[in-house]
Amino acid sequence: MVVTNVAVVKPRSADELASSLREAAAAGKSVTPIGGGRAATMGGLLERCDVELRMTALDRVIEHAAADMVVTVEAGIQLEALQEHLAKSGQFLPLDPFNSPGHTVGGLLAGGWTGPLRLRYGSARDFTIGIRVALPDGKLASAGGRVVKNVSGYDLMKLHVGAHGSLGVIVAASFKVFPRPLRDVTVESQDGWTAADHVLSLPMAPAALELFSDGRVIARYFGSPDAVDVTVKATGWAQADESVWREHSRSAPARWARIATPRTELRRVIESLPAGARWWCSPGTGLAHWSFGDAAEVEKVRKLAEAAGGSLVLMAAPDDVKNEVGAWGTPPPTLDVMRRLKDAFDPHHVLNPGRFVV
Amino acid sequence: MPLTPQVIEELRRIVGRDHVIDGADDLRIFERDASIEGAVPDAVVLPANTKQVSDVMKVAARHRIPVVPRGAGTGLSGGAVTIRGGIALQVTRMRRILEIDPVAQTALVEPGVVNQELSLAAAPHHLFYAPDPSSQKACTIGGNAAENSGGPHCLYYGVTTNHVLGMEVVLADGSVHWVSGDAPDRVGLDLCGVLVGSEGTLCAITRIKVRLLRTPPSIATLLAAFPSIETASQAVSGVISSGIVPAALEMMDQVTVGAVEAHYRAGYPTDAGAVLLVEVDGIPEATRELIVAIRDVLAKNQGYAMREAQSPAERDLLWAGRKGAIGALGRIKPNYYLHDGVVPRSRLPQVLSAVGEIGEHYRLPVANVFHAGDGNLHPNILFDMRDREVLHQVEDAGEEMLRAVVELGGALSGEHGIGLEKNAYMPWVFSPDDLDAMHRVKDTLDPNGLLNPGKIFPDPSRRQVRLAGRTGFAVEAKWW
Amino acid sequence: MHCGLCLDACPTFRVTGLETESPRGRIYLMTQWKRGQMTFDEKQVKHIDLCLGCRTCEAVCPSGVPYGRIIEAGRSEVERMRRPTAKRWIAKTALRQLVAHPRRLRAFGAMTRVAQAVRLTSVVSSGRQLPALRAAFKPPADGVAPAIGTRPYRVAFLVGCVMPILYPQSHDAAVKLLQLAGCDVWFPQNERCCGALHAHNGDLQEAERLRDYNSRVYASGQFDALVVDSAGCGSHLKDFYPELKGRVKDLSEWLAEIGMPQPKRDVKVKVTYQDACHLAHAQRIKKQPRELIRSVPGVQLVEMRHPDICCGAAGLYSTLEAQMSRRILDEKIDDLTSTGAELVVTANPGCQMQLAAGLSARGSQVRVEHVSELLVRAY
Repeated sequence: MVVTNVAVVKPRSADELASSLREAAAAGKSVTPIGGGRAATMGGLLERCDVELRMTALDRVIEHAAADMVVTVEAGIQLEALQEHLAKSGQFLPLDPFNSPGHTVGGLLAGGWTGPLRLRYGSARDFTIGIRVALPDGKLASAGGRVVKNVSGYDLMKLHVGAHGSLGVIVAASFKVFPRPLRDVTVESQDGWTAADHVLSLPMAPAALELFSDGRVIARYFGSPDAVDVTVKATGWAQADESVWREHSRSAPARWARIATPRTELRRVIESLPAGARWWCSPGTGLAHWSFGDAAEVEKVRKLAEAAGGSLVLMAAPDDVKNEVGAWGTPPPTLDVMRRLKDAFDPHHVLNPGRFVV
Repeated sequence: MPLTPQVIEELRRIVGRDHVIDGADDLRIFERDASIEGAVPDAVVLPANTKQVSDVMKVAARHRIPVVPRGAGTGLSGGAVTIRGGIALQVTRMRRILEIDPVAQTALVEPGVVNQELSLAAAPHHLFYAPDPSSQKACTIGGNAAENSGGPHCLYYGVTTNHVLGMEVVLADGSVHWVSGDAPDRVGLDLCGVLVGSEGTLCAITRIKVRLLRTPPSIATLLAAFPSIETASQAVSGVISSGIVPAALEMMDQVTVGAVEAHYRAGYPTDAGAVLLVEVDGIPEATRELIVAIRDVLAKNQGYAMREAQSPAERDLLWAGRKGAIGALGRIKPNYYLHDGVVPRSRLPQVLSAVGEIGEHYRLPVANVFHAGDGNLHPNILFDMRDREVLHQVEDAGEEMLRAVVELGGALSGEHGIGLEKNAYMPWVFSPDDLDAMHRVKDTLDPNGLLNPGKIFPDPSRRQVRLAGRTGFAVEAKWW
Repeated sequence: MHCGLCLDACPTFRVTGLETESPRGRIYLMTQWKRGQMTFDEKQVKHIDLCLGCRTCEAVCPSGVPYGRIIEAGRSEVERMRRPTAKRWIAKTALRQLVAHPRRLRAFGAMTRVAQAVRLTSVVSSGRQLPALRAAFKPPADGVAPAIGTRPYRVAFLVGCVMPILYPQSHDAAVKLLQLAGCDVWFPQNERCCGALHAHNGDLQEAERLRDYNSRVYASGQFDALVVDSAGCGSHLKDFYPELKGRVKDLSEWLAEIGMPQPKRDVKVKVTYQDACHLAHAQRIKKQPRELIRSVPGVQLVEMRHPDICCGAAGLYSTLEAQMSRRILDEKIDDLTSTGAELVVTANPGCQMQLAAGLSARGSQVRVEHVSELLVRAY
C-alpha cells in the first residue's frame, strides 16, 4: 500500500457520510471505510487509500422494536454495545465473531464474519432484513425493510454482506433478533471428532459446536429446560462454564486463515493440515480457522479446500504472504458477472481498491 | 408482437416440435397464473435441459424477444404473466430430482420439481425440505426460488433463500453459471442471494441445490379459538414476546374457517371469531414444554376450545385445511384479490382492524388467513368478476389495505413477490435512489430488459391501468 | 378461482407439464367456448379428449369446483359438435350395441375366450389386451345367494357388463364376502350396464336410457344397499341415479360399515393398494379398503408414493388415447414396483386390466387382484 496523506473523515450522519463519499469519488480519491478495524486484516492489500471513512460516530440504535424482535442500527455501533442494549429486553443478535471484542456491526456485515452460533442461526445473510448503503455517487440506497419477512424488490442485503465494502458503504442495517434461550448450557469433551460426530447425530442439534486441534470439543445447547437437560445428559459430556465462549471469541492468531468446505469434506481437509498445526473448526457448518505457518502451507491446503468445492481465505497475514498467494485464492467462475456489478455501483473503483476480488 | 415463423422454427429445432406452442387458442390458456391479471404469450416453450434453456435464451436475445420463466403458474403476483408478450419459458418438463444426499443433507433438483415431491422423496431418509408454501402440492421449486417463497413453517425455519445453497442459472445472454454451492462463505459477491427472489427478472433457474433438514422427532399442533381477530392478534404478540418462536403460527378468521370446514371437515370451530394454529417441533421434551407454555399464553389472551392434534392424520388434516384455505374461499365468491403485506408483529391488531374497516367501507367481504407469527397478512377480498362494477372497488380496497400496511411500517410483500400486482406501489416504500440501486443490478445482468419485463419496477406507462381494463377470466360460465 | 392447486394432481399435466393438459387449462378452454371467445376445433378438443376423467383434481380442489360434471357436460357438447373419427364411432357403437346388452357382451366374451384358447387373438384383437378369460360369472338360478349365519341385511348386487366376463373371480369373492358378513345377496334380473362408460365418453343420451331402464329393475325389489364392486359403476350410480340416493355402496364401503367377521387365516403377502379414481376421488373412499386390507392377519400394506394418481386406464381411454395412457401407466408402474410389493390390489376392472398390462410389459412378477380376492382368502 502506498500511504500518502490519508485524510481521515469521521461522518456524524448518513448524509454527511454520503456527501464525503461523493466528494472523494468525484475527486478520484479512493476511500476505505473502517469500523472497529477488527476485520481490516482480511482481504488483499489496498492499492490506494486516500480517504479513510471512520464509521464509529455512527453508533446509534435507530430503533429497537422489542415486541417485534427487530432492531435497526447505524453501522458504526459496536457489537457489544448492541448486545447490551438488546439484553435489556432479553434478546440478542446471534453474531459472535472471532477477534472480539470491538467489531462494529457494519464491519461484520461487510466482512461476512460469523462465529460458533452460525450452526444454529446461520450467518448475517440469514437475519439481516434491511440495509442502507452509501454509494460513490452520493446516493443513499435502502433495500429490505424492518419486517421479518419481505420479498419487496431485490435482496440487496445479500449483495453487500460479505462484499468488503466494494459496492458501497453500509451505513445502517436492520436485523431480526432472537429471544435469549430459556436454558443455555455448555458442555465439553476431549474426544475430538468422535465426540463431535456423536452430538451432531443426537436428535436435538447444538446451537454451537467447536472442535479444537488439541481434541477439545465444546458444545452449547439452547432451548427449553427439559429438552436441553435431556440432551446434555445424552451427550455424556462434562458441563463447562459459559465463559469458554467469550474466551473462544477472542481467537485471532497473528496469521490465520478461514477454510470453508462442504460439511462432509471438512475433516478430510483438516486432516491434511501440517502436523501440530493449531486450528479450530465447526464440524456442523464446514468452517475452520487455522493458524498457518507460511505461504507454501497455505497453497497446499488451499488447493485441497478448493478441490473439495470450498475455499481458503486469509484472515490475517503478513504482506509478503498476501502478495505471494493472494488473500482469496482462485477467483470464482462468475468473476466476470461480479465485476460488472462492481462497475455498476462503483464505476471508478474508488471503494477499497485491491481489498476484495472485484 | 407475434413471433415470425423463422423464430418459431428456431425454437422448435432447440426443444423439439411438440414443445413449442404457438397456436393462438392454445396460447390463451397460458395467459394467467394464480393472480388477477393476464396477458397472452407469443409462444410457450418447454425446454428439457439447461442447454435448451440457454439456446432459447440466445435466440430470444438475438431477436430481442422477452422471456418469462414459468413453473406451475401458481404465483399470486403475476410473476409468470407475459405482460409484454414474448416467450413463456415453462420449466415443467424439467422435473427430475437429480440427487438426494442423505449424509450432506442436500438435494439437487431441476426447477420443475414440485415442492412437495421433494419432501416426499426425502422422507425415507428422515429429511424434509422446509419452505412449505400453501401451494406446495403444485408449485415448483424453481418458482419458489424465483419468488423467494415462504410458507407457514418459515416462521422458525426461514424462507426459501435460507435453504438454497446454490443454483445453476441462465442469464439473459444465454450464458450458464453456477452461483454458490455446498460450501459456506464462497469467495466473491453473493450472487445466489440476489438471484433468489428476483422474480425471473435476472435469470432463468435451471438447477437448484437445497438444504434438507432432519425430520423432527416430535411435532405438536395446537388449535385454539378466539372471540375475535383482535384477541387472536394479541395472543400472537403474546407468544412471540414470551420468547418462544414456534415452527408455525397461523391465523384464520371466521369467514375463512367456514369455507375451509365446508371442504376439509378438519374440525375447525366455525363459531369462533378467529382461530390460531400453532405448531412446535423438536424432541418430545421440547414440544411438551413449549405447548404448555403456549397454551398458557393463549389462555391469558382469551383463547378457548384448545385442541391438540392427537395423530399425524389429524395434524395433516388441520394443515390441509390451512393450506387449502385460499382456494376454499372460492366457495364464497368465485374471485379473490389478495395482498400479502407484512407488518411488524405488534401492529397486527391495528392493521387487521383497518383491513376490516376498509372491507366494510367498500361493502366487500374480506377473509383473513395468514402467517400471524411473521406479521404476514393475506387479506382476501372476495368478489365476482362477472360484476364489472365491483372491480374498481376491489382494486381501491386492496390499495387502501396495502397503504395501511405501509403506514404501519410494513412491507409490500412477504412472500408472493411484487410482480405485476404491486410494482406500481414500490415508490411507497422505496425512494428513487433505492430503486435506482436495484435497477443497476437489473441493467447489469439483463441490459436489454428481456427477462420478465414489466415486473418489480414501477412501469410508468401502466400506472393508470385498472383491473377492469385487464384481461378477464374463466368465471363467466355459471358452473360454480 | 384459478389457484392451480389441482395441477400436479392431474396425471396428464404430470407427464406433459402443459397448462393445456391440466384441469385449470381445460376449464379455461371450456369457458372460452361457452363464451364464444374461442373457436371450437379438433386441436382444442384434443385437450378435452386427453382428460382421463379421473377427478383427482376435484378431490384436491379446495374451492369445490365440480370438475367431473363440467367435463362430462363438455364432452357431451364436444360429441354433439365434432365429426366423429372412425375410432370414436366404433367405440360409441360398441358401447351402445355391445356393452349395453349383457347377452351380446357375454357372447362376445365367449368368442374371445375361444380365440384365446386357440391363440387366434390376432383375429379377435380384444383377446390381446384382455386378461385370460374364464367362464363368466353366473348368479345363482333363483337370483339370491343366501347369507352365511345370521342375515341382518339384504343387498342387491350389481353384476354389470364387463365385470362378470373379465373378472368373474372378483365377483365370486365379493359375493362370498357379503354372505360371510350376513347379507342375502339379490341379483336383479335383466339388469343392464349402468351406463357409466357411456356417460364418461360423452354419450349422455344412452346413459339416460340405461338409467331409466335399470331404475325400473331396481324398483322391483327390496334391499338395504346396492353393492357395487366396480368403482366406475359405483360412482356413476351415485351421481346419476337419484332414486338410489344413499343406497349405492361400494363393496369396501359397505363391508367396513357393517363389519366383517374375524378372519380365519393368515395371508402372508406384501401388498400395495392402487386407489381406483372413481372410488378415491369421485366417491372419496380411501380409508375403508385400506382398513379392510390391514385387518387381514399377515398382510403387509406398503403404500406407493402416489397411490391416488390414475394408472391411465380410465375406461376406454387406454384404447382411445393409447399413447398418453402408456406414459401415465409408465409412471405408475415405476411407483408401484419401487414399493417391493408382490401384489397390487384395486377396486375396478379397468385399473386391474391396465396395471396387469403395464406389469407384464415390464416382465414383472407382481400380481394384480381385486380387493375382494385378497380379503376372501382370509376366510
